[in-house]
Amino acid sequence: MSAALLNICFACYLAALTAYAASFLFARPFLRRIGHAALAAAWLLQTAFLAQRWHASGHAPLANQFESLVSMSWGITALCAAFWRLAPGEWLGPATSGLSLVLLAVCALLDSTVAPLVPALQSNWLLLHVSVIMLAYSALALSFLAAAVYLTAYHGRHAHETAVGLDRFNERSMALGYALLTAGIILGAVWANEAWGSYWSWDPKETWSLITWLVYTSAIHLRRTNRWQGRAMAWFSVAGFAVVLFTYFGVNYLMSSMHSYAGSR
Amino acid sequence: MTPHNKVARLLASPRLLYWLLPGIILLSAAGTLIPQGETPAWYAGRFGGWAGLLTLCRLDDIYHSGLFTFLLGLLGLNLALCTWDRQIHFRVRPDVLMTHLGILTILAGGMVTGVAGRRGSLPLNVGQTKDAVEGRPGFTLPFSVKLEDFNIDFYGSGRHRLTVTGRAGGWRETAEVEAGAEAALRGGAVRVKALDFYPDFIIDQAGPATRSQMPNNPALRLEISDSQGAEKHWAFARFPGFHADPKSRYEVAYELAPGRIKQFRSEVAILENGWVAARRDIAVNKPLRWKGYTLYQAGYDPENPGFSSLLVNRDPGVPVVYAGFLLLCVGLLWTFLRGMRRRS
Repeated sequence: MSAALLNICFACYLAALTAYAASFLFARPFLRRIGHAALAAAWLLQTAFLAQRWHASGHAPLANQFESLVSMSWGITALCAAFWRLAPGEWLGPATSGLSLVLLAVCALLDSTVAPLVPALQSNWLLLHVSVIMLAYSALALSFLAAAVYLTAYHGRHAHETAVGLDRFNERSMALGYALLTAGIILGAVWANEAWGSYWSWDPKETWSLITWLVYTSAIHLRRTNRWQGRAMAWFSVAGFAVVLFTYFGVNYLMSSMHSYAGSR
Repeated sequence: MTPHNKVARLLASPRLLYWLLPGIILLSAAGTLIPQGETPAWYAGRFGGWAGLLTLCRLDDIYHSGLFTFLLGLLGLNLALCTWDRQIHFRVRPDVLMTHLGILTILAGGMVTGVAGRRGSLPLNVGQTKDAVEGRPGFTLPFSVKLEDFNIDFYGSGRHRLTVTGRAGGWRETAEVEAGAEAALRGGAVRVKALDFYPDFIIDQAGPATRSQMPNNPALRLEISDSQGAEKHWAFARFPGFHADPKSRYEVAYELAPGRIKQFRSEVAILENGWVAARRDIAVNKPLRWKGYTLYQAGYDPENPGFSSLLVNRDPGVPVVYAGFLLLCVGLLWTFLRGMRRRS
């Protein structure tokens, strides 16, 4: 039942992307509306999948990479809805469908077994820390999408109304992601002090989270104090999201960490 | 402009921040790529001739090196002077001021931890009492800790896999059975029941028993029944064929895939002046706080079920760091809400 829900959800994201592409190719606005409906259906199915998994396992579906990745994809679509009215042009729906599709495809490569929690994860901090971090990554993913659209579709047209809107969207989603990332790292530090007796251990996951935070700190300061915008900010957003991906995937697979249970099992 | 003024201006400039941040990022990343805190022999084996240079530059302990500490200190100074300079000239927005104060407080808390924090380990066997903490000379607790019991909880008893061979018919079949349950073989003609499970089998004065819940010597007491009657068997996962009856109609091979560990639990007594002041459980995510010291469940020995290692920590920097966390969170939230209000 659970696997079927996720498969249908994947099909809905695919249908959304196809409808958006067809709407663009054949200039039929009603196809775009079908895309919106398929995206909403995908998100509802994903919500049902996560709720069902939470109920079956008895813990928040955030205990391994499979669960956190599904949650991140869920967060991206949820934030897409929240930011809908702020997004200029028609790029947000297709970009969100495409990214969620990729993330769910990666999920298919990971172990999806429902396993009981190891002692280190048996804490309410699991829900607080991981959910906030995943929401932060989702907001930073939206910032990356806006930057990618800016760099590909509005290259050399920085004064274009949509380009200006994309730059603002990039800034806002980055600001939200940065605030959530800060809160997530702080929650993790408080949990680490409770579980391991140290709020900071220079563990590779902690260190790369700090690096991510420092990269976005630089971006936000350059924007506020040096008025960086447009292309420069878009590249910063792309680079920042590359660091997010390394922190999330790279550390789990390439480094030995106290967070190793975050990898696939 | 005098050189003195130039240095002061640079220290209070955001430009310095844009040099410091890449430096801190690069060193932080290097610390995750180069294994930290290994022995000189290990580095010599891994990096050959470069090992000397690596240890000379303190790349074997980057996060405690002079350069990294200097960069963090300079970052704190730069942040403080930048904020102060802008406060004088333009009046910094209160949310930004709070955010910066939060980061400065966290850095100050980190310094307090580094200077005044003490941590070490308290390895204990059941029944043992200690107050001297290992890992830091002269670190003695103002109370004693007695380990009264140590237990490891498991999710279930694991998966018991039995391969039964019928000596008369020459057949062999494998089945999984749960402790206390029954499995059918040969289409139900033969039934195997797991009567008792002993994860760490021993024989004491009362007979068969388990020393702990760790699967150190898993043993199953079985009953195999068929049309000719029932017979009892012992099956040992680590000693196949041990205690096998040569007259039996069956041979049994036993494998155990142990259950996952659920929790480590140390039952301790806190002794003050020889009297028991408190009895508590310490588990992962459930430390014990007593008179400014925190005791954490840190380790165990799979070969010794009566051993538990506790981590002892006394860190006066924690409240300072937490105050910084609070300031940073409130400052960022304020900035975010202010931005939203401005846009709306």
